[in-house]
Amino acid sequence: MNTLIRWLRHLWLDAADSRRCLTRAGLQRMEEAVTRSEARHLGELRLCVEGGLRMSELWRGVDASQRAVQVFSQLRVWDTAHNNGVLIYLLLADRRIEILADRGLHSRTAPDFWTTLARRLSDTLHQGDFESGLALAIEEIGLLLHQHYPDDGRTHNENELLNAVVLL
Amino acid sequence: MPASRFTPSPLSRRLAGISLVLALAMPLSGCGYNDFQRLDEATKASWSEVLNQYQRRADLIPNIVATVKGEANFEQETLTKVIEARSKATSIQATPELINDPEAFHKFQQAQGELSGALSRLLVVTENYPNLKANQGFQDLRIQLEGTENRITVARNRYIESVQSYNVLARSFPTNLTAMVFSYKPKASFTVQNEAQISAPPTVDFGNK
Amino acid sequence: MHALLRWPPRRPLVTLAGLLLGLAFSLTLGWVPAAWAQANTATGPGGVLAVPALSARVIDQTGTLTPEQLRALSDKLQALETQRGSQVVILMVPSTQPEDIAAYGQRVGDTWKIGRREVGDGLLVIVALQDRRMRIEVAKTLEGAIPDLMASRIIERTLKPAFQAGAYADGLSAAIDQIDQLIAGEDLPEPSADRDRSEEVAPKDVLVFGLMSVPFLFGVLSKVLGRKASALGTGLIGGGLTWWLTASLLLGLIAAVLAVVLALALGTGGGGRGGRGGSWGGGGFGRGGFGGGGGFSSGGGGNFGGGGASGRW
Repeated sequence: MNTLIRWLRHLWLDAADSRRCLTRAGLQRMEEAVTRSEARHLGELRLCVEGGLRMSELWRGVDASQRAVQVFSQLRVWDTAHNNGVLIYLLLADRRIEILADRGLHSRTAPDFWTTLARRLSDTLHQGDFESGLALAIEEIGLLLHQHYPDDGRTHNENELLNAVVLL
Repeated sequence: MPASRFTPSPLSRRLAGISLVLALAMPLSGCGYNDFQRLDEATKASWSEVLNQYQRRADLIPNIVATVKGEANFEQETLTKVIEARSKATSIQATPELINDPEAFHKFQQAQGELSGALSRLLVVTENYPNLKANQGFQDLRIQLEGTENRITVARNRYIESVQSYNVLARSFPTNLTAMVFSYKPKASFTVQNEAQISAPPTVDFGNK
Repeated sequence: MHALLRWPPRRPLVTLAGLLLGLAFSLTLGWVPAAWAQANTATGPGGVLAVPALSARVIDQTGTLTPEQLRALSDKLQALETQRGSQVVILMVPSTQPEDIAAYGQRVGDTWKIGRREVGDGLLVIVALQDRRMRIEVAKTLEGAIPDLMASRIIERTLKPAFQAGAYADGLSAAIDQIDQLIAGEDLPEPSADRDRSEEVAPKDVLVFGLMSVPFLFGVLSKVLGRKASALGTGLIGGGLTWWLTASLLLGLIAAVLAVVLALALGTGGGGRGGRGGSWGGGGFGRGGFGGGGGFSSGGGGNFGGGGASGRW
């Protein structure tokens, strides 16, 4: 029964809902925040909000983390010069947040950093304030990336990945 | 926009497998078990109707006998035959299970057939008694008897039809396999030949009177 | 799902399975549209009389009744049906040979199935002119109101003298009055203002139809509306259609829910091009009864058990 309800939630929510939880202005602000953040470091950040999984994925038993890995590869977050891409993935139907960092960055961070960040994020998101929650995440990750991959003006800081929020 | 999602092949293989199994299973399940259930119930229902009507007839007979007995000089032999035939017919346990037992069914059919014959002989004989013909009570009983006989015929025909559908299913391939698995045997039905002989009214010979 | 409907198929195995499934569905559930109940094909073996078509409440194949008499009797029977709900039909034939009038009456009753479907309250008056026999055939539900004895009395006391005098219409009219009285005394269900449809659609036909049409409907609607709105619309249309076809609100609701879920699961529009596996014609609609001229049609009741009485004049 619970599975059925979960499936119905997934079938019901889609990209339109993702767009609705961050308004058009909000999306704009997110993109600007990412751009601002990336100006100060050599890392890449991508945000992805998904409404619900598709029937084929539900049937196969895909959950949020597996899907996040899929999206990570699909959006080419792995394809960065310094292996320091980060993906923030939100699945509305399951109310899950996944943060995936590429191995370059991961090797330099404390192991519990990500879990702590995710927990703080989820508290904010629990209140329903998606925009400030995500802004906070961008901020924190930006700081981390600045710490490990600062833009010191010598290396060319190319925007390898788009900065817009992906709505699925 | 992200590139189109790909689904790994194990899914399509699984889907295909399930669909194929379903496609093959459909015709098999389509002709089989559910139909047997349905037709089995239908034959049982039509058989109870037949039994009902036979019972109704049996219930009318004591009244008829009583009315006729009141008539003086009535030919006792005909009356006795009716009474005997009735007790013989009602002595056979008429249960729903009868249709599964061809022997018992045949006996039942015979007994009822003899009763029909005795009754029609009785009615023929009463034609000769003007008092009875004028007796409104007797005429009413006659009408009710005719109605019941008619109903018996209709119920028997309906039963024969339903048993026919059932038996066809139980005998043809591939449903006879399902029948064997779930032990649905062909059911007994009314045969015509003996009936005709028994229920034909004999010619009344007035020379003996 | 999209891949199923492309040619050459992206995933041939899945497409093949889909086609096979659809084919099996169609075959199992009936490819040929079910036959209409035809009133005039009930000729038994051995050359018995064909059952006439149920064209009116009074059918006179002998030409005995004048048009005014026909109309008067017909109106009376119509009033009876409106007031009581029961359907009474008069049939005059030259002869019922080689059959007994009872057997013929039974066949006619079984074929026409007059009387309301849920109640089974039909009554048939048959007159075989040349045989000089008449019969009143009573359906099971009316046997309480008109037992064999009453039917016999009507025949002996009303019809017989009238027929002997040659006053057929008068006799029939008086008989109908008596029948009306008897039925009035019986506790039958009230006649409903809107007559039930005499069509039946088997639920499985609805299921097949629904499965085929949901992708199609969804595809059409999603061109106009968004995904969710078209899913809801598909559900509404599917549920409404099911309700209309099966006259069951519950089935309609269930169908609506299923249609919405199915439409959502299909994903974004473009996923429906009509049924590929199987065809629209698969599983015709079974129908019972049909409408004749003059707005009179059988109620689908039937249920003639051989009750009633016969007589001769």
